[in-house]
Amino acid sequence: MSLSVRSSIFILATSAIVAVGVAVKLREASERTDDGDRGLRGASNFVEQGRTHTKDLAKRISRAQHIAFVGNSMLGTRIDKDTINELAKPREVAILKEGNTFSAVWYLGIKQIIESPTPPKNVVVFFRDRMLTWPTFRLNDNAVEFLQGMMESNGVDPLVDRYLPAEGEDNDGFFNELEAIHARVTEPNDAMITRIEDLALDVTKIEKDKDKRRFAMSERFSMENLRHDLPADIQDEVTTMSTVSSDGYETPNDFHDALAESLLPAMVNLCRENGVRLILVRVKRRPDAKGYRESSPELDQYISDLSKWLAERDVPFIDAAPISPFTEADYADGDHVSAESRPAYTRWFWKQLTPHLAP
Amino acid sequence: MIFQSFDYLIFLLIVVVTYWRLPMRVQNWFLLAASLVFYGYVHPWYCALVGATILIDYSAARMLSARPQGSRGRKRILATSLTATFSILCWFKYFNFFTEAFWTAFAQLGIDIPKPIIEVLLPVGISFYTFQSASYVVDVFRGRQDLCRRLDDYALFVVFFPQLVAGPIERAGHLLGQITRPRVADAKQCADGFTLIIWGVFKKVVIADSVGIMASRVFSIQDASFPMVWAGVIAFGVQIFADFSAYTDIARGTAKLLGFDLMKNFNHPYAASSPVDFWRRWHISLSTWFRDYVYIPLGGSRCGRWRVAFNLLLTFALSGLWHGANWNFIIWGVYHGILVAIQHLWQSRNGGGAGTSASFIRSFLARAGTFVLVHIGWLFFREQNFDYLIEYLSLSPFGVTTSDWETGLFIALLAQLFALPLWIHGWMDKHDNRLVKWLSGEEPGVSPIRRLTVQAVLVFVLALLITSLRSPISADFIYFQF
Repeated sequence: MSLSVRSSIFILATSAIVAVGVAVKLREASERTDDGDRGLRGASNFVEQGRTHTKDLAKRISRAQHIAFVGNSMLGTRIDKDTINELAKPREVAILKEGNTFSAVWYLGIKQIIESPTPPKNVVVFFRDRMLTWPTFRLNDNAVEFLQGMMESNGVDPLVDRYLPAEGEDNDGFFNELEAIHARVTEPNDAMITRIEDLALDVTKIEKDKDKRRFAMSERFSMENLRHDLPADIQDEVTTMSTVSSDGYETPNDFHDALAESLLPAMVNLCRENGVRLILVRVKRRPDAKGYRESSPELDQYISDLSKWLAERDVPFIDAAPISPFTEADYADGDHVSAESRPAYTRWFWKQLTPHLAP
Repeated sequence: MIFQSFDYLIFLLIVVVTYWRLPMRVQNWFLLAASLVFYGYVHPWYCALVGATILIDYSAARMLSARPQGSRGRKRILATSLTATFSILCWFKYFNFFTEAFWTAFAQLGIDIPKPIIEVLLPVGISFYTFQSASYVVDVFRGRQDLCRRLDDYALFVVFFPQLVAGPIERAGHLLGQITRPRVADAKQCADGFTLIIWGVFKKVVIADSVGIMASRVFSIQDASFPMVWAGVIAFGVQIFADFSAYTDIARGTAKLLGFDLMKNFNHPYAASSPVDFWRRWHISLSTWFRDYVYIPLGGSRCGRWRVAFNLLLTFALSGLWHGANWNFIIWGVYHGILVAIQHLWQSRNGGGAGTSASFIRSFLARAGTFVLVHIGWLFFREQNFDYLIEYLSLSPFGVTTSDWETGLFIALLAQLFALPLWIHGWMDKHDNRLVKWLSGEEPGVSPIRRLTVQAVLVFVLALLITSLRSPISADFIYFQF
């Protein structure tokens, strides 16, 4: 008996689709029994991470602060905690960093800081190039969960909520449904991957148990230990000529278009209304990064417009890109400053910051 | 457009469904248009570049065929065509590398002149299609290939989308003949194509991408120890094979859906029993290209043994340079050239060679030794920073912390756990497994229904694993950069 092309492909495609359905169902079942163990490939419970970040912020701002630094690894790898504490004395400083975060997270963080019983006099936000007006950057499913985790205890913020995919039926219900299915299909089964890793950890055990080894590996591969010659993680948003895109996330090229879609005005208003000085810091990206230009006329125009807009609102803006004396040798991987140069960077930065600080 | 994207799935669906509804001549035009859309999807100017290569080589072949064999102008036409074609490649791929090398040499001599550097993106697949197109002209020159009279057919030969970006580097004798003949829709071929695509996607998103994260982690830290570096190399060995062979499988599977047959590019290379054997199994389309168009014209094996060794060294050095404009690739090529040359010298002295039967232990040791030698080579290939390369090579296994040994062993084992399907596939192929024969249609008397059932089960399992175990981070195919 012979088979037609159509029926052969139909049978194979059907078995593939059924397999995908089975995999999704299996994953849902495994998630119900998952103990939240974190896989080494970085998979974890992002809702929980968002909750933890919020709790962490609340804990760190519970005591009186004079200056709160907010940002992602651009802040974390630039400001040395001991050095800044020493320089700022007798003022108290809080460094509220969380890697891979973006402006929507910073906005929620600022909101939380301001709502605290003893808000700081100054909030300093570190950002790269266009990131301040790009709230949807990194807003993939993980980041959505992170934001949801952050908003759980403090209530949903309508300004942030507008960036999140709507739940249930609405005008775009069908597409949301499709997106949800796509996300379920393309997300790996963390529990299954963790089991394979556990097997490898058990077989290769010499001394330490699994948890200790996971911790040791996480330390071993931490940012502090990264090579100095690796390119930056964000590459093309500074050179693209039209609508800027990076890893599939888009933002308008023009500052005013980007501003309309951003949380920057909300950040500025929030701080002004509560008597907190907002200071914005654009960091200098890795100089002479292999294969990537540092700037473009479009980006220069954007920064110039941003600077004017902030000046009109009396918001201090430190653009470290043209003035930072630090060279490629001071950087670790990509745009991160190395641990060795961090104290020097902190001292240099403090000099730039002090004229702008509210008393 | 990349194979493992949703865009490609839609593109492929539209192309396959439309393609089989068209008459043969229109099929070719349609495939040509689809290939240009595929190639120019991100950077449309790529199409102009490949267009230039097509026009140069098509015209050269026409001029060559208009002149009788042995006539005076033929060599000049060939030289002009090859110079023009390879100039495009060199301009985009090697200009900065050679400028840097020459200017460094000038600086050593105390000559200080401004260095010209071009800032231009390397067009994806340029090394692949340049070699494919150039081989056609050489074959026409040698009288081994009939002239392709139709420009559209020749253009399709060069830009045929399944293999345009990362091979296999096809020969005109194999692919062009299929382009000029009508294709017939065949259920077995389509089912095989579908299965190959799923197998390729599995290799890419489950094996290569997952193991690639491990390798990247190791090669990202500044004080990696001996066990960690070599575990990273093992992980990279799995990554590069799974990644590149995945591309070839998806390319071959796609071609089968369109009624074409592309050459096999891999034959379980890590089961090789010697460096020569490895190169018979790894990137076959490139190694045979260098054999036919570089090694044999240099004199091949027809010269004295030291000259043969030199020919091998030169051929492999060029093969290394083909991979990328960086010293580490040249070193990698020379390293393999040395291994193959040593094997050649050894065999010519001791009279060994193919056909020599070996005991199980000897065979195992030969395979294990080749595995180790090939993986040492992968360190040259992976590490582009010379300082780090030297540092890694000088690492000692002594005095390393237990924690680092545990980490190294864990990474190496985890990489091999992910590679398990590749080893099983290799074992099944080697032992003439009936399942493989069923799937490849070589087993006589197997009913199409039974065969399709086995394939459906295989597709089910692979799709299940792709959905469950796929890497959270998807990287480009490694060979896109070449």
